[in-house]
Amino acid sequence: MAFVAESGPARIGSIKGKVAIVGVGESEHSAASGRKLDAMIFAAIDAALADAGLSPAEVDGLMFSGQSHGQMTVARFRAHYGLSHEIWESGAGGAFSFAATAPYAAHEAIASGKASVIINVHGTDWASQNSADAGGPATAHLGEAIKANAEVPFGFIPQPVYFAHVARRHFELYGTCPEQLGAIAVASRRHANGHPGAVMRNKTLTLEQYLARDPFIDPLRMEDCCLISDGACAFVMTAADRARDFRKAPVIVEGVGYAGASEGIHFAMEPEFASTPHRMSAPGAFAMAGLSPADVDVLAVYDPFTIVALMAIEDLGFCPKGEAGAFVEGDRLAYDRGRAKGGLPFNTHGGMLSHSYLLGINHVVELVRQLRGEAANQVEDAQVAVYGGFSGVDAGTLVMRRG
Amino acid sequence: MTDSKPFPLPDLGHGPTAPLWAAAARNEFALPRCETCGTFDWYPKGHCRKCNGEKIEWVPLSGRGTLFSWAVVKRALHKPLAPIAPYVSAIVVIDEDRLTRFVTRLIACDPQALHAGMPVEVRFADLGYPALETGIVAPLFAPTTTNGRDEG
Repeated sequence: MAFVAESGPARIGSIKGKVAIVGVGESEHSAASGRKLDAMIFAAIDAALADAGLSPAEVDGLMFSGQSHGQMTVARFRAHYGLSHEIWESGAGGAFSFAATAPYAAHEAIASGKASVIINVHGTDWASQNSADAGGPATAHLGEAIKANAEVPFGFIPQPVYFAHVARRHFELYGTCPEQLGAIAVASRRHANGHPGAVMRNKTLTLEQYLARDPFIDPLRMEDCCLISDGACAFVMTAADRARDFRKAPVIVEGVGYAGASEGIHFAMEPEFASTPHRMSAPGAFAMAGLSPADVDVLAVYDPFTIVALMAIEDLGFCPKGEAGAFVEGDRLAYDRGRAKGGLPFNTHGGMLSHSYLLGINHVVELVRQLRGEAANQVEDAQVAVYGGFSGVDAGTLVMRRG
Repeated sequence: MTDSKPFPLPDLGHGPTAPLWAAAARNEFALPRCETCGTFDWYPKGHCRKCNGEKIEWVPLSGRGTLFSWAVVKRALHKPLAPIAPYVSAIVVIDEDRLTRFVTRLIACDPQALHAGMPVEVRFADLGYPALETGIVAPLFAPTTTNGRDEG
């Protein structure tokens, strides 16, 4: 089933315990590099297959984003590896919210016998595109006719301008302040500093440095905005009952949720302006898993801006709506504080703010490593992990546990 | 028929939004509204989002509203927007309907003195870029002056 961003939560049948993630992989992540998208995608696939102990010939399912440019296709996969066997494919995967819902589509394919070993992959060369002034994240917004004629002429473009308005509204409604957005930027950076694959691994950030930066799109600073990166990530899914056949300890999918915003890409018109569809996506995922936010050891959320991460924390149910500002202060989000000490380990790879702009699929890769106990910033005894995917028009929630 | 202008100017021939710009050229602030039930059709869907009515009419409004949210853009990320930076991007709620928002720009304001809910009113001005005189008049907004009119 391909999820469509219609207003409200999607009705999703339970797949609790049915699907396992048995391999993860990624290419190098970087700023503008000139690297070819295809080469990065195949590097991620190679790494995920090696991690699972698989050969390309054993892959019979491929998931990617049908909405993003230049993603993998079965034809290119076969040509690259010199294969000719039948491969099921789905454009309902990739990153964003679909990195959360991919296991649902994978389960349908597995249950109906269409595939048994499925790779979900996403790559982006937006850093190189941006530096060549040819595309990038604002492309979809610039091309939408109403926005082009009723927003762009006033200067309401691109995403940092939208989310500066969202942040300001959150400030006005709930008393949220820049120090609290800064706490998210600082926690993310600290995690990237401890992660060898993070783009910002060598650049530190303190709250004092954050506050000293000029809010260039007030109230947002550069440090409130995600990176623009080149890179790719992949993960391998299979039926949970054969997950022990692979090299690494499996991670089991316990819950999936999905919900759409009301006004789609017209963010300015969204009735729940200082909110995300996580509030509608998360309850179904937690109910499917039989778990609650209190059971989550490590959280990763799609973080294009600090304000989106802040809203995700409250909309996913980790604190009451409007209270995430106070919640994230201090070291609450640090990987080494942990739930037992009142913390919430968050984006332990650095997220899109400081790891890489891989649109959330890198978050799933990180959480799998956390649940295996092999993460760079390892959360002590991580048993349950949640990914909150987002795209502006929708949200997807993925609840996983150590197998 | 289109009257295509370079980014970031509006296409005055784009049907769903053309009346906004045509009204502004007459120094009127107008938005589309369902003739049957009075629900505003903004952004235009071409049919009423409440009653599904198909009779939509552009109606002139008071030009008064309240500030919903704003951002002070000190550095524009798209080069053609640079000539107007710094500028105050804003979303206002129109007085005629508290559920209808309008994306605009605030002028004649102190960015430090803004707050959600403050009264604002329309000011018609040239968009002001990429050249200073584009010939396109836009419904910009400003904090409402004490007597409700800008005498300055």
